[in-house]
Amino acid sequence: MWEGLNQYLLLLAITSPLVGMVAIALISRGGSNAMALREAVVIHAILTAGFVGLLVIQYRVPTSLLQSGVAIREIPAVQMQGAFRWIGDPVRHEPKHSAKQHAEDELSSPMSLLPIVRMAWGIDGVSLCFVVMTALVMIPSLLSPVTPAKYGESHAVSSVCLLGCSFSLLGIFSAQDVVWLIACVGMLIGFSAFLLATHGGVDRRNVMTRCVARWGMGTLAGGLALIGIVYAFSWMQVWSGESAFLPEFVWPRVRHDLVSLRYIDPVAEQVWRQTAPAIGLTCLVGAWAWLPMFPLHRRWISFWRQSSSGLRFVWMCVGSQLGLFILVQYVLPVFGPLEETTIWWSGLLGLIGFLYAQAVMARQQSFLGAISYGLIAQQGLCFAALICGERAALWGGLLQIVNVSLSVSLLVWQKLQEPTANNTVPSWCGRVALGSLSGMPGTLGFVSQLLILWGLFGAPVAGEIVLLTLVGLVFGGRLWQRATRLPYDEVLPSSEITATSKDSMPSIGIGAAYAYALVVAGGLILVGVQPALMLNRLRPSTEQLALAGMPVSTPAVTESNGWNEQDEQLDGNSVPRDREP
Amino acid sequence: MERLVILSAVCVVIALPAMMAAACAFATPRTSRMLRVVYTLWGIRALLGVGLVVFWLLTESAPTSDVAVPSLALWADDVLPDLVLSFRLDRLTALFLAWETLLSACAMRRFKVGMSSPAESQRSAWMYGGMLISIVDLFVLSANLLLTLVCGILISRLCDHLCRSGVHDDPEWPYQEDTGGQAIGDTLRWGELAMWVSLLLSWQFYGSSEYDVLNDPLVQQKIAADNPAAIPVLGLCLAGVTLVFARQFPFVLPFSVRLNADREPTSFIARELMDLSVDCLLRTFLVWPLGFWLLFRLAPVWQQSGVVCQLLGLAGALTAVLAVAIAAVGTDRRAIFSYSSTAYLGLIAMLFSSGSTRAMFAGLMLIGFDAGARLISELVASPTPPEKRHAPDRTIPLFLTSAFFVMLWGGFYGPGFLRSEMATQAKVATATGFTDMSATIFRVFPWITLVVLSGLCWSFLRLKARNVQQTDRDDDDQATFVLSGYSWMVLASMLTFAGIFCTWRLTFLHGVLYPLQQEFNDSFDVSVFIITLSSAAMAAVAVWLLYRLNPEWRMALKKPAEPVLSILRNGAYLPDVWKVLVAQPVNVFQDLCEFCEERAWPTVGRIVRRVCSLGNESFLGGLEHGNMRVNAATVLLTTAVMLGLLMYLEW
Repeated sequence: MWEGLNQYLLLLAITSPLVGMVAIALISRGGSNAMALREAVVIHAILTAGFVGLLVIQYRVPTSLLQSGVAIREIPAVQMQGAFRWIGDPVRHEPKHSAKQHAEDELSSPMSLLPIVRMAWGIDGVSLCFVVMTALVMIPSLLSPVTPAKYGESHAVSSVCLLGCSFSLLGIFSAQDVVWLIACVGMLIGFSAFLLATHGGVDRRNVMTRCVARWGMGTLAGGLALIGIVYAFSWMQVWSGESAFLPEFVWPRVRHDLVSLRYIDPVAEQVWRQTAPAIGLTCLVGAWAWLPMFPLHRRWISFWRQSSSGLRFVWMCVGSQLGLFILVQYVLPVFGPLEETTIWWSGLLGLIGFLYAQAVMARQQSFLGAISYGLIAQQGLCFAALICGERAALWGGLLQIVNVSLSVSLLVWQKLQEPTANNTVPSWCGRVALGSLSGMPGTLGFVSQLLILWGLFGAPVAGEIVLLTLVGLVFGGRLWQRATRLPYDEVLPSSEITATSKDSMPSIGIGAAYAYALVVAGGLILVGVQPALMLNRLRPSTEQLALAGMPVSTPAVTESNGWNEQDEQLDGNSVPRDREP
Repeated sequence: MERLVILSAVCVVIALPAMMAAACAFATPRTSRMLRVVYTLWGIRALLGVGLVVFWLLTESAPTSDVAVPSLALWADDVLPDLVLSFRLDRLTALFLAWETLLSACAMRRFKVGMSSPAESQRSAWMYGGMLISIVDLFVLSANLLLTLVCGILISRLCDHLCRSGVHDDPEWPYQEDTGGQAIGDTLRWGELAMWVSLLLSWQFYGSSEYDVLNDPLVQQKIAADNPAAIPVLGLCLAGVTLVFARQFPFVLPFSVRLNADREPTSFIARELMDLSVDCLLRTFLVWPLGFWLLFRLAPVWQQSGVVCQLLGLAGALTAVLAVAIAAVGTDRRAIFSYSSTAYLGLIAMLFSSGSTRAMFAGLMLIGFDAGARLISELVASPTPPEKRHAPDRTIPLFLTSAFFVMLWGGFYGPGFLRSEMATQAKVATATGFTDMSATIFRVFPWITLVVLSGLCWSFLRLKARNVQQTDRDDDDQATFVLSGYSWMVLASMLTFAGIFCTWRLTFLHGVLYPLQQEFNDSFDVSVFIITLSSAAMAAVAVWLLYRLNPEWRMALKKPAEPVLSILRNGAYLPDVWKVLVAQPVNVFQDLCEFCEERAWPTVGRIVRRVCSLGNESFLGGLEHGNMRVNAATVLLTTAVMLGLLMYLEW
């Protein structure tokens, strides 16, 4: 019963922003009704968060996983394959149809375009973190002050775009299909670009030429490159001539569900070993393609400076984590166990990035700048943690992503209230966020940093650099503390920070501001005190991701549904075996 | 049943300060009745704490009866060694609790000023103070490094916050971001760092962070056989935790990057930053219990390594000598106090590293006396108006002389003087890798003890002389013969505890697994303690009489200090070394990063952009000159193109 309920909850959570967009479009058609607009926005933000909250509470890992250890090809996820089944292939409805036959049908059928737009949704423990993060961060994003539009666009446009961003992000994090993923990324960038254009910063022309054209194109190119690399490697497998990499084995997986790629049986592990350095390089390129690399940092900040407050929330707190999400959900599963040299170099790169960005963060003179480099630093740390092949570090990295996003959103939320002298966020909530960022015990930050450090300590990463990272982490708390005391931005006038003009949206109610701060701070404390709440949900989904030195137990007999049956049938001759450290 | 009683008493003792502090902070109209209730509760807490020890001693005869408190498992998994917070209440910690409750009850006389203050900042600061006391109690009860780390970070942050918050009476609170006040937080963070490394190392080497496992000699031998470097490295880290958290050692002070001679943290904190009450709170409830507890819980690990012992002993000796030199030339009461406590801790580290149990006992007593003296000095000073805050501290001599004799007793019975102790040392040498070098080093320690203690006495005498000259003679005459009842109470309780400890020392030290535990089986005459006590009392009277002498005679003592003073002021000192070795490279690195951000990366980006623009001039050119809607449409179009490309590939 719960499984079914989960499906509906996921459907409701993803579609409620869509409903909100329609509702706002309808409201704003009859003239500017600011109050109703605000209410609609608040209702839909809270609805989404509520559905996601219910989903978290109801999230159940299949019991066979918890009881019988790890199964190689089992997917510990709540899947929503059926949402668009009416346009999909009828084959899925036929339980007696064998999976191999089904695959052959797909390859040979002239209607094979249709299964592509099957749009499989689903969440596992990893994407659950990101979905929760998105749903929570969208609340301040939607409620933050709106810069007055100069070209006559109403606030409805801003709200619709932000709800669209929310929908796209939820779609990205719950995608189990390449097309759905790419479509959602495209939508996200589209909505962001439009919002940047209509409600952007001081110099829209500048915005357009610098940010949209170059940043947007660069991001798209990065995404394209990532997907291209995935495909290229799939082809390399095909060309390598190994029997396990025959097209009929690889293609259905790549085409239908990238998430299930992590369950590829490691038959040809030797091939991977030979190509390990290239794979490591690809991992780096792929994961950082959607991240700003070092030379792009300044552009990242200028993007935030030019965007509206709502968009800043979206990209600061969620969008900047997209690269890490892609890394953990797509890149790592595809490339499987990494060579120790690869891990060493990747970890080194990530940790040097962490230290570098913290050094620059210490010299920043504005809140925006300091937060930007702080986020970059955390991404370097999380990158090293995710890629180092230790389960503890992997869990820590995922928790740290959530921690950084939520804490930074709370800090920005509090900072935005400052100039109006209407500080509706209780000060202890800000202190909880700061504490969580600096690893205060009793908050989520402590748990995640503990896990990351323990994982890195056991990983094949240079010990000296891990010790330096530890120094950076311990003293990083002071940098975050300093950031909150800096002015919001040395360039932006205060009117751009808070909408004070008469045509701005009605001010946020105290209740909403207070409730958001309370929920986030309470959540940080709750998970910090009892981390098992999140770790139990994360654990089964990450079993296959951290592979270095982790012996995996023999898989048990899995429940056979259509999904798993297909995989078993496809490579029936290959028996899942234990992975040697 | 007895355990239940003990456990509930402990819970009440731990929870009460935080609860009372919260009540004081949140209740805006604070009536005198409420304050009276609060004082009563502090008194009840003290009674509970003392009753705890007595009850335990009465009900339990066997020395093997620790109360095991259920652990709190955060996460049980095969990946992590133990993410478990575990507690242990043994008799040593019970003794600490009793002593701490008594001290805090006495300190209420001073604390009530802050609690009943109308200023919001002061009240919130006292809320944090109450939380600090609770967490220190919890810290002492921790039975594994994880809980120690948790409590240590919390204590560090609370101290930082206390030092920043406006407890100071002065409206122009001198705390600035770039002043020496930052050094407090930085120094404590180095302690956190050492704790982190210790925790990770202990997990790696031992697979556990429980002190029972860490201190088990059998396990230690096994680990030393597997990896000879394990115990020394872990021991050094744990020693680092101890030293840094004690926060007073000169060799941890230069960790602040922005140091200079006038803004050196300890004296800065002492002179300008710290309010009397905060100073009292931090020193009494932080430095002493942390030092005491860390040394007793963690020392068994580093005492296994001769190298660590030598290093720590030398560092402690150096610290003690340096600090006593600074204290001797100090002209300020608080500066002298700061450096005297530094010297105490240096001495204690030195004595503990020698491995002699008598020296350890002396160290323990010394910490107790120091805390008592400090508290009493604040209690005496606090009722006086601010302009007379440098009033003579009449009770200092009592504590100082008591400590002096105890130290002499402990230090001179240490290795290097008695044949029996040297024999013990030889035993240690074979067991734990002490060398001839260690024996040579340890032979110097008693003399250092003597020098340092003499220096301390001299500095306090000088202070006394100066203060008496500054103070109004009439008041002084009247007040001289009035010793505060609190002083006697604290001193008497300290001595009582010392007596209890001496009489049932095996009981209290059960569970503290020292390599030299057999030494406790030597006969130990309680009469030695009584003799020490009476000598202390007599010496106290003698020193007190000395203070009544002509102050001009004592002013002459200042002259010999001048050369030392000039050396310390003008000569090279650790901050300079620190600045050259660490601070400047860090600054250079930061400058380099900044340069990259400002110049290098944009240049690289410009070059890349030039190259790229050759390729897509036509496409982007149209984009840059179009309007925003066109551009948005272009982005969407590109998405569509990409989707189409994908679909084509799929097909």
